[in-house]
Amino acid sequence: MNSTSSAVSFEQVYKAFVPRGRDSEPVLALREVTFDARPGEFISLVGPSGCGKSTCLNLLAGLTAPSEGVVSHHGAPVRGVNTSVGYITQDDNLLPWRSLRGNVELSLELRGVPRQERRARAQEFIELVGLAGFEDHYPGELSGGMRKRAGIIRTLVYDSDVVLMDEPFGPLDAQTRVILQAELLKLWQRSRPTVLFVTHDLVEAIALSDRILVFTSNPGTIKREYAVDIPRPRDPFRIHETPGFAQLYEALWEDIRAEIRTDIGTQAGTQPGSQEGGRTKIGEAAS
Amino acid sequence: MTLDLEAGAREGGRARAVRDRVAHDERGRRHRERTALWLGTVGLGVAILVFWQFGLEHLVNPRYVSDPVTIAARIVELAAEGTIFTHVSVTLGEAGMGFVIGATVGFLSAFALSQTRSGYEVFEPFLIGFYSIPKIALAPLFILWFGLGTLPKVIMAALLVYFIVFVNTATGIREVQPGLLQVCRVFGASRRDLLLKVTLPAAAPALVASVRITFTRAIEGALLSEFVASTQGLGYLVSRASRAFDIATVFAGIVIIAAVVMTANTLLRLLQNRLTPWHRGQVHG
Repeated sequence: MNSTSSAVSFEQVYKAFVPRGRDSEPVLALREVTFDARPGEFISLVGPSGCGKSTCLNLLAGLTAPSEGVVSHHGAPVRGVNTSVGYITQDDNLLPWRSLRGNVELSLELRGVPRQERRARAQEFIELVGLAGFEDHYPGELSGGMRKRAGIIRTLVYDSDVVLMDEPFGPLDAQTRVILQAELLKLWQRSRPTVLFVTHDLVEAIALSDRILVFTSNPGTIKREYAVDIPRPRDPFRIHETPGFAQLYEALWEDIRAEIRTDIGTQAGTQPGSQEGGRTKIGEAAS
Repeated sequence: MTLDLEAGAREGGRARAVRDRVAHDERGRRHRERTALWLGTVGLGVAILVFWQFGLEHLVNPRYVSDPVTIAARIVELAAEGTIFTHVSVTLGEAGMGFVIGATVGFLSAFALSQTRSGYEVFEPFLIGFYSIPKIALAPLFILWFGLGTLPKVIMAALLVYFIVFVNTATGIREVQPGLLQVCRVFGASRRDLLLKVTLPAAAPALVASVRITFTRAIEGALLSEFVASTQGLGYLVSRASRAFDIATVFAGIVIIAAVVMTANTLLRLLQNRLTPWHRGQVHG
């Protein structure tokens, strides 16, 4: 594939890091990862915990650098923090001292968008996800699903052409998850950014993606990729009724099951990029 | 509100009656509970005062414990003389000045040291060592070094405030979620943006909460120094009276100190809720 026409490209990327703590051996998080994403493509990264999926996102965001190989965004290698992507983390990471409106406006404010335009754009997105009426609430006063919506729109509000999402719906209950998947698809259809979406949920991956990359357990590398040929617009509420769904799900699960099985033997000790207190630390080579 | 109205319209008359009755019962229960608590508190207070007034003299020599009526009369007397206001304002002035200095220096130094990881770690053992010194042990030294005037009192008050504000600010800054900073960097935040828009507000609840609790410490510091050597202030009033076996004045002084501290705490708590409404901070110290 011609890498200059891709929105995102990973070429022979390796990432090793030394975990914090005494006498720790370097850990290889990614091995020879190569893939491209076309503009507007929705790609899911699935695989066992600790397989370097989040590391891929951190590399593209420029929060960490590859140990070898090249990560490029529109043909240009990523150097330093990449402020032209959007990053949605598993934690909503909202600023607790800012109202919902203040949080949604934050990214625009940091980018120097004038106040009036900021206000208008934030309001548009707040209304899109049904949060109108809660503009002046602090994050502590919002439900988990509302905070998640806020976390998503505050990133989409600045219209980056590549959006990185790291298990954004992880901690939500099953119903809220599906509702948010549907809302995400609706938002995505508006401007069609390229999305790299890390998830453990195979149904979610099928419902949302054009392509699914299955990672092996550590060191992470791409084991197989699947094209999802389900036509859009899709309905996440009925995705399992779609012809072809069952076969795809079965194939994905088969691939991942093999990884988990080989993983059990090696996971007894410390797991690289483990979660502390339920929070994924971005920037480190995490799951 | 609108949701309640809609819910009300959807349900029939019977359902509404059930809701109303439950609400009414609950209000009554809460009211009775509050009344009981209030009566208990007042009753206990009155019982203690009555026992002090009439019972305590049978147990100990009344010369040493005075009694509530005499103490109240003494407070009125002190107020009428006007000297009490001088003492209060001297102590509050020392405490206030020490508080401002201690809190400002504590905040600034914590902030400066937290800018680099190693900066804080180099200083930490010294700070902990100094923190563990009972500050009262320094009071006589301060009198020797800084004389009998206001200065040693201000320094003592500032010192007591300094450590608590320092530790809380430093903890607040160091505990900012790294994810928060990274997300903001991807959003395009500069170093200055991160400092002003993330780190400072994130540390604010700890700072504001520590400032609130430390005003009491500042008053303690001023009083402590006044006990050791002074010519005016509430600490001077109490220690002079105790040396003269004027127990009623000692207690009058203690009551006034308690009233001053409680008033200051209430005002600062109101201020705290206004400054950091999103958070009720945890305070270390």
